[in-house]
Amino acid sequence: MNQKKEFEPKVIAFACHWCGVGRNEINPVEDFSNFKLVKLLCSGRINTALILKAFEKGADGVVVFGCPEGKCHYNFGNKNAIKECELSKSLLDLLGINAKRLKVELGFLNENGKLDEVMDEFIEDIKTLGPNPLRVA
Amino acid sequence: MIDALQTALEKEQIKLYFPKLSKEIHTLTRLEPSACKVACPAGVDVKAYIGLIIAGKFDEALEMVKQTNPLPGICGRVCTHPCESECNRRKVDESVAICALKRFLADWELKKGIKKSQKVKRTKKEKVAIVGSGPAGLTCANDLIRKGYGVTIFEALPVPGGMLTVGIPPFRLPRDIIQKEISAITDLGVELVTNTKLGEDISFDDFLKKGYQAVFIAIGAHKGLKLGIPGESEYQGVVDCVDFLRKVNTGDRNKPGRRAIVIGGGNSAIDSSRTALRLGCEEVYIVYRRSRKEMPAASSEIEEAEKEGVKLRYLTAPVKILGKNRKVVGMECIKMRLGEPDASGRRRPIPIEGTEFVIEADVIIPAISQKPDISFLPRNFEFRISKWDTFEVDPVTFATNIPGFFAGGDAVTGPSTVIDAIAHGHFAARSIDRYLSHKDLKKGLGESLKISEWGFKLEIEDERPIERTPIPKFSLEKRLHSFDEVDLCFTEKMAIAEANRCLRCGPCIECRECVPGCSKRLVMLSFPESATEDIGKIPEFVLRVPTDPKKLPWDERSKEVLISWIDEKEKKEELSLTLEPIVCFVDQNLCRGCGDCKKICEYKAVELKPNGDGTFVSEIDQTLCKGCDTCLAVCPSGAIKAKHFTSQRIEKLIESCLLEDGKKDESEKRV
Repeated sequence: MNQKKEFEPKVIAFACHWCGVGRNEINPVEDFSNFKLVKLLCSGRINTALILKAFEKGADGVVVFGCPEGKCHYNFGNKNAIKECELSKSLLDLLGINAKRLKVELGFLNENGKLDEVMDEFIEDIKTLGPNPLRVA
Repeated sequence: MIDALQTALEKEQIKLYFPKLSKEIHTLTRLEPSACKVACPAGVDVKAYIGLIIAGKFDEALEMVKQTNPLPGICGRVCTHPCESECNRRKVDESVAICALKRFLADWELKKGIKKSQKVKRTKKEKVAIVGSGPAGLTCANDLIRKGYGVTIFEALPVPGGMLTVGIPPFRLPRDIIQKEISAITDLGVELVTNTKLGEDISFDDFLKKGYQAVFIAIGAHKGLKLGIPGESEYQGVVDCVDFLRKVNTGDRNKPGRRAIVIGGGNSAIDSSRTALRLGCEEVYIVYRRSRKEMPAASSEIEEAEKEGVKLRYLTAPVKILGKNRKVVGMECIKMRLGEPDASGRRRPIPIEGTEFVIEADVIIPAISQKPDISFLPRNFEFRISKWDTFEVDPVTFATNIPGFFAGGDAVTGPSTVIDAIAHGHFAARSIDRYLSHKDLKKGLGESLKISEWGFKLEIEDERPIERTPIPKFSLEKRLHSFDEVDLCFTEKMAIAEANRCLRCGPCIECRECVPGCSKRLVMLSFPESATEDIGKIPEFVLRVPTDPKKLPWDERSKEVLISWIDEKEKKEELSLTLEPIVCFVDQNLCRGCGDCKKICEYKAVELKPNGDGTFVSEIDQTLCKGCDTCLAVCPSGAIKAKHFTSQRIEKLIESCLLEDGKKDESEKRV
């Protein structure tokens, strides 16, 4: 009985430098227990190409963290992130990858375990969706 | 070099993300202190506490002041603030009200309730005697008790504080402030013996007999100089300002007379005149032989005195004191004109013949200068004394010619400022500590840095003028009938607004908040051992993320490998890691020099460099640049490029995240 282990989704999170999600400033990538964090200077740096790249390489879910609306360090970076993510979502649907696999989370999440709450919820969602169809294929 | 490290690390199969060795190690070195800190004789870190006020961290700010100045409430009221005269804000409009901000901090603590300071544990068996409880003596006692010595202060008067208590009137410096700041020092364990005059109640021999190994003489300058004109000692009604102020400040509030003349132009002359007004004198004159510009008193004090009704007579010198029936009735004066500048740089006054006139008065208060009263000195101690009766000491160590005896404050300089006395107290404490631990007194004490050597480029063209917050004053009508304080305190809002006028002279305010704040201990600060050690010498200030791999937040195994690798390289002396930061850079062939990038840069990293033919080219300071790419977006000619956060880099980061898991999956499948 070679029972397959429980599905553990691979989640990549992109975080803005200013919203306080990362734990240190040295490593460009950080390992959390259930996801990996890639750090950018601003969530506005994200674009469709990067999001699709993550799915292409086999990510099951992608989260973009940014500062709350109106509090972007560069004035309009997080607006750009929302715009890019909306576009990516429509593209994901078109490609047959569920748009729910992409999430934008704006807010200062480093307090009171908010980050864990958000991520646990997201990972539960991904678990119900199953693995990335690109990876299975 | 990096490649060598990479291969070494790959061989050991260490898990490290792209790039293989983290390259973001910032070193922020600030070698130049700010102008205000250099200007302060005691080296108070002005920029740091102003920065902390802006952040609303008043507790930390006060702690910062107290590191170098144990009397913030007193200095915040009566300091001559040399820091404000050097403030770079003066090039834009007026200097920042540094002194009033310090007072705000002290009053804020008072309002909140002072925590009683804990007694310091005595760790050393040596005892030090301090003669005089003025600012110099108190500072020295504060420093020495914190180092673990036993300290006793001997005060001749019944009240401690020296000139602070008996010289400065309560409407400038309330008595309870002095009381509180002195008790903060005595609470540390300093023994205070009042009513004990050196030479009468106790002698130097007694100190040695009682086991004091070192003595600090800070007796101040309490003896008024004589005018040297006829009639001075013949008539009743001539009172020296020191005696006059001492009498009033120790409780004698009798009206000295109807009309008073104060002679002199210093702060003590202004203080005497304002005190005389409050005692009920109907007319008070100040007679000064030079013009207002040469007056050594603080200009704000002169203004207040004028507002209160003191009549100032410039370019007037006393000739003789007139009297009738053994009592003063007036003073004959002569008009002066200003001649060539003398040795002190001030223009020498020359009498104009035939312009003599008489001012009627029944009290005359000479306030021309003071000198230390050294009549107590015993014969068997031959101190070197200058012709102004001051102690001659080594300018760096403050040691007198007799080993174990140190002197400072007004006893060395003649009448001077509180902040100078505080500085002397620090210097003497440092020397006494070295003397008692048998170290070289002079070792490592260089000359202090001059402000002209201070090299930070400040861009003041972009600053817009902001009006200096005026200090609130007690109403003019009420103040003449009481000795209540005239200057009032800033409110919290005013203090923050005023602190915000500070130009911060550099990217780092040196508040040192990052050091305890950094939970990973990534920030280190190299700073001389203690705050009092470095006065007079400008410390090297380094704020950095350590390049020491032991401190990197990596797992133990990778650290081990890296450390052993670095050790090996260090043995061969080939280690020089060139670290590539995340930055933007300018292709100077494409740059048009429009300056848009400079305007938009959040970190002030862009500078415009003239080409010499009227055009400019922009340059990015790589230590300040954060690689945010904002300038890249604004550049009209596309001359700016970023070194990091390129798509290729981020793609590789994504790959590195997913790669290992992929490998793991494959291995699982095989199983």
